[in-house]
Amino acid sequence: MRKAVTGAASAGLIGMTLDSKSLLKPVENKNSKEGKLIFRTLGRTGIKVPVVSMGVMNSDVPELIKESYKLGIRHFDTAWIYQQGNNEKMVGQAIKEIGANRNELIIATKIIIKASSTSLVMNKESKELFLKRFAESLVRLQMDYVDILYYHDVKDKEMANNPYIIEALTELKNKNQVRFTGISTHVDWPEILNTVAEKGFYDVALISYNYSMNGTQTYIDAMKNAVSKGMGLVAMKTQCQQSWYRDNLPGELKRFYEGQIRHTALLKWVLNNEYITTAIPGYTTFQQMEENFSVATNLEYSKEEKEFLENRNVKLALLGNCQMCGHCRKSCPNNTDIPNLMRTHMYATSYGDGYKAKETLQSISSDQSLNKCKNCDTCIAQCIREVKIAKKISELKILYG
Amino acid sequence: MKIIKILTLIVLFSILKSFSILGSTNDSLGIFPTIFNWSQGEIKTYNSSNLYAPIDGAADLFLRYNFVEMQAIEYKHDSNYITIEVYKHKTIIDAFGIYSQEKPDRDIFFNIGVQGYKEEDYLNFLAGQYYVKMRVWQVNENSTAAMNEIASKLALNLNKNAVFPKIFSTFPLENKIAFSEKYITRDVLGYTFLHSSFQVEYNNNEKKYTIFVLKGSNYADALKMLKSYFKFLKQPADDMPDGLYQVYDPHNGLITILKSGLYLLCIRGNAAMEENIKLLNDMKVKIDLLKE
Repeated sequence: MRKAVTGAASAGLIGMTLDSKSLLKPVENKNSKEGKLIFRTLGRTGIKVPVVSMGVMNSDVPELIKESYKLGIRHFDTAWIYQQGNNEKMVGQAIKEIGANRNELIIATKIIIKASSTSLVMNKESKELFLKRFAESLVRLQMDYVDILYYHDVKDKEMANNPYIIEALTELKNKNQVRFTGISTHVDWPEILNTVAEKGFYDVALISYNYSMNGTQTYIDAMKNAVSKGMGLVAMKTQCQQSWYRDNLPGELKRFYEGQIRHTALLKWVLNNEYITTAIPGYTTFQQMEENFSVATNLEYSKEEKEFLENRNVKLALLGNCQMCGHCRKSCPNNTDIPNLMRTHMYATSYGDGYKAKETLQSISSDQSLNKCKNCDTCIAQCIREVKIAKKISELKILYG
Repeated sequence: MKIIKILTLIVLFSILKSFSILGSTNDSLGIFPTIFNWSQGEIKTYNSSNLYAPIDGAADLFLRYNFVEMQAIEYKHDSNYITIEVYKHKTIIDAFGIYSQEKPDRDIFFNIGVQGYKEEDYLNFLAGQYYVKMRVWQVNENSTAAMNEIASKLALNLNKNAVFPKIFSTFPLENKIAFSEKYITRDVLGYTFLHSSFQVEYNNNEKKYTIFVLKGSNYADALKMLKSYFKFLKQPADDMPDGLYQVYDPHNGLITILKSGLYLLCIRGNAAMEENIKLLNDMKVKIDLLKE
């Protein structure tokens, strides 16, 4: 089953190569003199920062922050929600112990406002909650201000334009507790990025960006537009560490996720995009720190890295599946949860994992599930990566309908 | 060709059905209690592939601790609501691990399940292989009472018998920083080759130090961890029998290690060698008793 599917999927990817779009030229210096850090400017903030920064998110080793600083990393990214605040505390304490001049550091945190529905997020309580949580963040960080404060996990353009959050951020800026404002967004971010770029309030966007998005012009266009409006772009999820990139892959593909080549090649691919200022890989070991930081002085691909990126199986692993970008959602008039249905299909047919398929199907709200899809023959849902949505949903209906 | 495809799908359907994976309800845990005046919303279940949807990047850490599934539900009353997330992990130790990553370093703990902590707008607790997180939107007398009632009933429904990991009873009590117990599943001290660490923080008024126990899956695994560590530090690592070792780690400072079977008992940061040896030997005796 797996062999057959792999073969079939491979056939569709044979034509893919590292084309001009995937090897974009950086705006500022691509190669510094040997050993010299490559710096870029974060849009209108004017902040100059090395191309490699640290996403502290998963680390519980303060020495990793201290050693990163010694190497030359100056931008540290955390969030109010990470480890229920313990992550911010660790960052604050480590920075204090480093004894660095606060002005040479770029500290970013994020505040999440979750509620049961968008309507509940869009009220004055959301502003109060945002301010309350940020006050907690400052205490945990042992700081008077942060350099970038992100509105965390913005899911759609309405949320991005939430006037109560904009009010809160404006107040914090006026009180000099926040230097620059930002949004962080994971799914279907081109539309969100275009919206906030037009509005002009947010200075920075933290976006998911990695090799699985290779060749998709929508992302490039949105980045270009945001940068042209003066926004700075920071990349996360750069090395496809998240489980959906590798869980349940056939064994012969999993091996491509191991080792240094993968990390450095994928990180270079992101930073060779002219619109990304810096990346925040979430490393947890000293070895990963050194591997990531090696990229900060040289963005040229080695022969092995180029081979890795051009390898057909790597492309299959990274590019062969629905990436859950969510772009298709708005093209379905019945509000069907297409991304999760695509994953259900992947588990059921590509990997023959009926348990995972059923689990994924069950995770979908009943008002967005398979029964909400009315007629596949006239399906108008569109995938920017050319996943055949209608065909896959009709197959799911045979299985589960 | 189309007929073959449809036949293939029908065969697949039959296989799936034979494994009894179709037709189960969303409430696979069956744990959420009924609360007077509060209505229950739909239960949503997430697995390792889509945990990112509800909790974003915070999912990464849960996945490190053998996350199995998460069930989320909202209890509603007028415009107010309480969100509840129940994270199921593969083992009790995994659940303790993620709980220990998030628990506070100050005493806001209370007696529920294995252990819990709360402030006015949230309440989190550990119950066996489950980590429960609850948050209320508007805090008032009614919502606080509802949150407490849901928590109590959930704790009973989830696991009545789970206890705090016994290995922590072998750690010294003197100078211990209260509530600092943690379980780190991997990348201990920032190294991929060190895993499964039970650790506690100490402060003797002069300096802080950490005592931690690395547990190998067997004797060979414990030996492999020790050898890998010494090789990384460019120290001799050919013959490493049970006994005491001390090494300077450029990233983490002085580390004293007592190797005992499948355990590596370690102290980081306390330079008093004699005291370190005594502390580790005392722990070894207690761990040996625990094994019996």
